[in-house]
Amino acid sequence: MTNLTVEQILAGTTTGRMQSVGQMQVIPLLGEDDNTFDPPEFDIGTNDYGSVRVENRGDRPTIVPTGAGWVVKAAAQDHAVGGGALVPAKQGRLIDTAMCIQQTQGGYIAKQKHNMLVLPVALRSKALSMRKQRGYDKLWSSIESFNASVDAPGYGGHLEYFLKKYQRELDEFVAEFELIPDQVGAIVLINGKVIGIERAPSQEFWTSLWEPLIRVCYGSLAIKASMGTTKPPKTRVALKGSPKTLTEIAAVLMDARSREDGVVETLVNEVGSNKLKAGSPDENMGAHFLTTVASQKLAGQIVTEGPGIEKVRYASICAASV
Amino acid sequence: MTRSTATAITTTTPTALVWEPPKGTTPSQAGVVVCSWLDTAATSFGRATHYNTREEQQEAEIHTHAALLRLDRDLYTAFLTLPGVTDRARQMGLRNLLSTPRNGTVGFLSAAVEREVLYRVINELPATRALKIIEAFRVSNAEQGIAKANNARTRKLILRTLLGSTRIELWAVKYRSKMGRALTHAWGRRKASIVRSILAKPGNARTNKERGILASSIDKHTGSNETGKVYQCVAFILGAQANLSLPLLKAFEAAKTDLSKGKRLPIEVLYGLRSQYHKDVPKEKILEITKDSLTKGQRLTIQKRAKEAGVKVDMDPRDYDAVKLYIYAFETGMTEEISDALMEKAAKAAEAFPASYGKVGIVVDASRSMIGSSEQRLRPMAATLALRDMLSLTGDSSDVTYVGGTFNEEDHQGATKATLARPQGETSIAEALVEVLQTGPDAVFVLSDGYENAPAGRFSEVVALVRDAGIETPIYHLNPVFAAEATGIRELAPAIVPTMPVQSPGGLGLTMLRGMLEAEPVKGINALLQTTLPAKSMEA
Repeated sequence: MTNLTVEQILAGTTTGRMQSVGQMQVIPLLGEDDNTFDPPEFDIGTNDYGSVRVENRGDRPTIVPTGAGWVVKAAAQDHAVGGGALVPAKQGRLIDTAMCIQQTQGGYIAKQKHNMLVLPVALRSKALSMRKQRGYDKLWSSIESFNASVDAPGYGGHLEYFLKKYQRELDEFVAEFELIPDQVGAIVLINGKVIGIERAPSQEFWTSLWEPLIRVCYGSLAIKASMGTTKPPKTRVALKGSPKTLTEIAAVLMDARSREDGVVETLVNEVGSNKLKAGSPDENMGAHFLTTVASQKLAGQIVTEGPGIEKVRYASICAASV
Repeated sequence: MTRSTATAITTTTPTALVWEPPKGTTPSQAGVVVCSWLDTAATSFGRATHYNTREEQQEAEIHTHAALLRLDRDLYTAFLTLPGVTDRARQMGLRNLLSTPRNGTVGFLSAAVEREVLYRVINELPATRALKIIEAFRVSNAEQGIAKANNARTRKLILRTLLGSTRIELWAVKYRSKMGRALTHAWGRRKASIVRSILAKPGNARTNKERGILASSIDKHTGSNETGKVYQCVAFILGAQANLSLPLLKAFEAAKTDLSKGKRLPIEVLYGLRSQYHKDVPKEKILEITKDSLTKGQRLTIQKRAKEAGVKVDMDPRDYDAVKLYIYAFETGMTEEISDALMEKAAKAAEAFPASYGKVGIVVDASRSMIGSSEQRLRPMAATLALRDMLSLTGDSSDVTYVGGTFNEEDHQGATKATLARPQGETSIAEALVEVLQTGPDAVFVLSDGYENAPAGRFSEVVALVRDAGIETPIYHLNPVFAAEATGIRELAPAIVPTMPVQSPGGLGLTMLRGMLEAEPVKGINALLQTTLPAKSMEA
């Protein structure tokens, strides 16, 4: 595998109606279920800084999402991973290239199910680029810069500073964007620009992954974007005309809907033409391969069935720089 | 270009001004405080919703309660008795009033009336909630804004509530340890121990002094209860060895050796006795023993378990409120019997509704967020469907449009009118509003949690277009979900469409009064007061 386009990654999916709240917009991706994988609801724990132990108790294999992180209430150091990982059914594995995201907190995370997040877009590509390096402290300076950029300053690499300051706003993102039937992924826009392309193997997997993605990964950027402007993005279609009757108002709405469908089509075509380079697979589990893909604009990972790109089961790709 | 606000609600009821805002508070400021409190009091259960954590909800509740208490203690007291106020809000009100002194309060209520109101509020709570609040008086929790309450009036309230209850015998077997802790809290450990020792003696062996102690500790709080009955219950609660003649107390003791003799005991008590004294008896046996003595609430919640155990437990759907019935129907499927009961309840609630229409339009938000949180799963949808049924009957005809939702054929099987809609999909309420308006209704009710995403703000834009086109049809937004972030409820079109909280059809009267409150705060507050206490009770 060397080169591929986003269109190839999205093959087999169609789009749903765009949802739009504030600076964030979501185009749902609809598709068939591939129930090979359990949703990412596994136990995790740490017994060393920079290492995360994942335990999949399910009957099916699962995928640790790219940039997954765990912020726990207990006095234990929060951790995240840069890249994803494949975990066989009823097995555990150690990811010893994880990173600390809570600089001055000591203590290990007790192994159990913990709420998962996905790192903010602004940290994703940096974390991904260091996915093979060992070093618990490798993301600290980036987190500190990120916190400063969203007005959540404080010493050191503490992602929880941001999470605490914006807890309410982040929770609202979860509420505002709703899952629709047959949804297995989404294209996420902030300020009218495509920032993320996410695809899951099944609705069940997507239902579990959606909250971590929308809440922190993309919600973080929406918060930053809303600091700069209150104007709706240009991709939020405005109503046109001065209707005088209900029939005319209905027509105005229909026109807006039609133009919105056009916007979605254009966006999907534009993002679909993006070319990405793929290196050798990071790892494989039987017939499934986890591969990192990147371009000047985008970076992320995909899981394919087989070494080719025909059967993409999972993809998490977001803006390389924001 | 003018934009009409024909959506304001007014009543023609003459309203005497018993209450006026305190100095330094404008009518609109008072209105905001009361509206926020009403939103909380009518919809909040202190639990997580689809949007907010339990902690966020509780923090917002504490804030709105404190604000109304600060505004006017008497207003706060009186409003606790409003119909449609949740038990949760009443519990919080009791705690707030009992943990703060009335000293110096000059208002329209006297101290004696405040005491009576508190007694009435606690007595109208279900037993578990009343005992829970009594339990809460014993402990404080600064984080949750809970202060300890152990003053004389709290102690009197506890004793009058427990010892004066006509259900004291049932409570004694059902909530024995909670009752024991509450009485010990009210009397103090030493006195509780003395009372226990005295009650362990036969009546004729008690000295005059001991009789005096019982008179001051028990007799003066028993109300219409027969004293001997209360003595026996207290003895049982405190674990004193005494001759028991009351049927439930006797059954409790007898069931320790023969479980079938506990037939008249509450099922949970029998389960407790089984786990302690009859571990070899299968759980299903308890259902068989108690199937005729189950409470109405138990009959509903136990259906699934009973079916699995092969025990037929009779249940009459007419015994339950519409929201509970819808939740039950979501779990078990809609039947003709449930549908009939729902429509009967809807008709009754519609009769009490303060308005009627030629044609009513209803927009039902059945998008995914209406599923609610795991703590209150499907409650927002259930409340919405119950409101839909009731509002449909306020018009000679009605037109209902759904936003999202799925409609399972099985849910409709056998049903004549009441139907289920399971939450699913995105929220595009604006299109549904136009669709309903095109049918020419006299009023439109939008039943929604207030979250819109296809796109957000479209509803407000469309209502503005509708008004600009000169269409004045009143539009009301009824919201069954309390939202912590808005310190009240989420609005779909702020300042254009009034948003009103409502948790069930029965609470809609309160909701409509809230609409009046927004338009005319002082008049609205006084109208609310008139629905709480008789005029003579308000005299200081």
